[in-house]
Amino acid sequence: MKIILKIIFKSLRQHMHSSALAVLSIAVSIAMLTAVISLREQTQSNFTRIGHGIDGVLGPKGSPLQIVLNAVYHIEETPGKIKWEYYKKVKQDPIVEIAVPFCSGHSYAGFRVNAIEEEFFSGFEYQPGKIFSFKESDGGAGRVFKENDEAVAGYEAAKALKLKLGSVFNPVCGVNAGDPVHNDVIKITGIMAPTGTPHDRAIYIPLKAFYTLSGHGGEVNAMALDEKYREISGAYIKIRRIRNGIMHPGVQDLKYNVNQSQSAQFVVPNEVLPRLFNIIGWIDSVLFIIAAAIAVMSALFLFSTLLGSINQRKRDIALIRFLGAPRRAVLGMVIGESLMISMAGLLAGLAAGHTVVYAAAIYINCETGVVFSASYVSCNEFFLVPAVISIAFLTSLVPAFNAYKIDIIKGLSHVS
Amino acid sequence: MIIQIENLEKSFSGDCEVIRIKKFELGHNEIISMYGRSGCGKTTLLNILSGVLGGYSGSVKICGTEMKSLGERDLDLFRAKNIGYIFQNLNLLQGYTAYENLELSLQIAGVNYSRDGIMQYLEIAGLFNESGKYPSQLSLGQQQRIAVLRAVMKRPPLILADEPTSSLDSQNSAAVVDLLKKSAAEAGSALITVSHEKDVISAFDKKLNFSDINMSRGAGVLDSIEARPCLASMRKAGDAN
Repeated sequence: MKIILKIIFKSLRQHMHSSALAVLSIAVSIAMLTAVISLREQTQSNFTRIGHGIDGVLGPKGSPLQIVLNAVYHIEETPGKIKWEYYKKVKQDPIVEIAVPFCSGHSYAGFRVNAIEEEFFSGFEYQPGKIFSFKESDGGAGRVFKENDEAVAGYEAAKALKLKLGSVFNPVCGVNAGDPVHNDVIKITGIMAPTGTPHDRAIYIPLKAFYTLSGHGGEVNAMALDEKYREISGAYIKIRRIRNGIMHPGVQDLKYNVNQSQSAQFVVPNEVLPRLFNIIGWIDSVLFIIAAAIAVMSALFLFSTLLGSINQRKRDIALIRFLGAPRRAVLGMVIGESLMISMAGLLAGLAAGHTVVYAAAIYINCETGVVFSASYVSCNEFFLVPAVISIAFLTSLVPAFNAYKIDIIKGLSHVS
Repeated sequence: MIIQIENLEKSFSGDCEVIRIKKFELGHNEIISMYGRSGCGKTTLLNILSGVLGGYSGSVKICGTEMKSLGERDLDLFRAKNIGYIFQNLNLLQGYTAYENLELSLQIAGVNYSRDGIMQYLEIAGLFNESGKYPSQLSLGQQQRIAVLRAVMKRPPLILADEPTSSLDSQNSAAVVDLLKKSAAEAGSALITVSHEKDVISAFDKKLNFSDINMSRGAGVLDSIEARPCLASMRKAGDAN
């Protein structure tokens, strides 16, 4: 066995370039498959299953997707406003545990500035059992806002904008470049500990501050004083649980009633996002097909590499046979060579695939605040190992048989 | 006896007889040179003795073992342990250093060895400083000395050398023959060196004209090429074309 391994390593070294190319082609296909699988699964897990603590979003009539992207991921504009009184009505529904109103539409240096009620920081769980923390031990700092000229920043937003306690900024009235800037100077009083959710990428000001910002005009200013005229962009809804984390079944009635009204709609992020991924699901299918095509190509390349290598080494193989190595050893040598190339490709591909996921995770985190992990290992990755071994074995059969049947006398007279 | 041949007959392509040896024996420690015309069957005999060529009739025993009785795997093992072979055309593994060529041969034969032991042999052959070099970095003479070491290092009872100096100049040729004789004698091996070079043949005390043992009419031992059915028919076919 030791001798066979030695001969295999020698052979790989002798055909370093073609072996390296075979490893590379396998690595590329494995990297693509790994990255596609990992990103697809993490995307579905992060965007469709968790909901970041939000059971539903009470929002204006319009595109449900737009509402979810705006309210949960801070990456779209709100399609309109809803009346405060309607929000109050929904909040009073017995199955609603928490309803946190918010106003979006402001920004600072590319990050959203949302106006929100203080309850968001004291009673809202972004994950079961976890509320936003400002403790230094958790990575946060300071405290929640108290006055209209105070704000708290999400961890990623503070990091990107180098915001510290006491830092000041002027919010922009809008989310696009060139939008007007409010004269109001807002001071940072708290940095939220990281949560791994899109909430990390927003800055929050008190809800009432939204109505009193200079430049909003008297009509908006009046909303701060009189609830009758007040409007909000929406509200995060948390539904009561009946037991073991199971949502109260009355949520369907609530949703139906809200959606039947002319005032608002009740959007469940976990229902909307899967629809989005069903629509754009063809992208990862195409990537998967491309990766599979590259895998087939690399198997063919491996086949031709082995075949060429056997033809070149007829004389060496005949000599090794002459020195006493049995035919079975020669067979094992070629199959072993194929397995080694494939396993090297597999390992390199897995490493490269996870590196791609790492790079994508940085980008996704910057864009959405959602945390992807490069070390996430899909169950499907474990299937890659037997799949690669099987392909390597099948690919090597013909070259191995060619080597097996090499005649010693003819082989020794072979001129390569 | 190391070699015992009785009534050996070997033909190619049906009736083209190359070898017919009634009886031939070679004892322990016997060192001989064998000569004869090109195409007379010397290499064929060495191939039969080394077990890589079958399809003959008669009996060929090496160290008392009937070669025909061995299966392929046993024949591989037998050859690895009992026969050292030096090729005419410098069959060294190109991807292996001088040291590795020797080491692999010992490993395949399952012979115990040490690094120092291999280096000692290399020193004897004047190749101590070349141990890490690949065949392409060695001269032809140096390569053939490595081939000699590879054959003798496992101390086989029988060493076969097929035109071991054909690609060497006279100086290197003498060095290789000297190494071959000394190594075989030191290892206690029987040695057959096939050559058509007078200097090489005369370097051995015992000389054997292959035609003295080969009675085949088809072999190249006869003076007239017309008397050799195989070659004559081949020549006629060539003329017709």
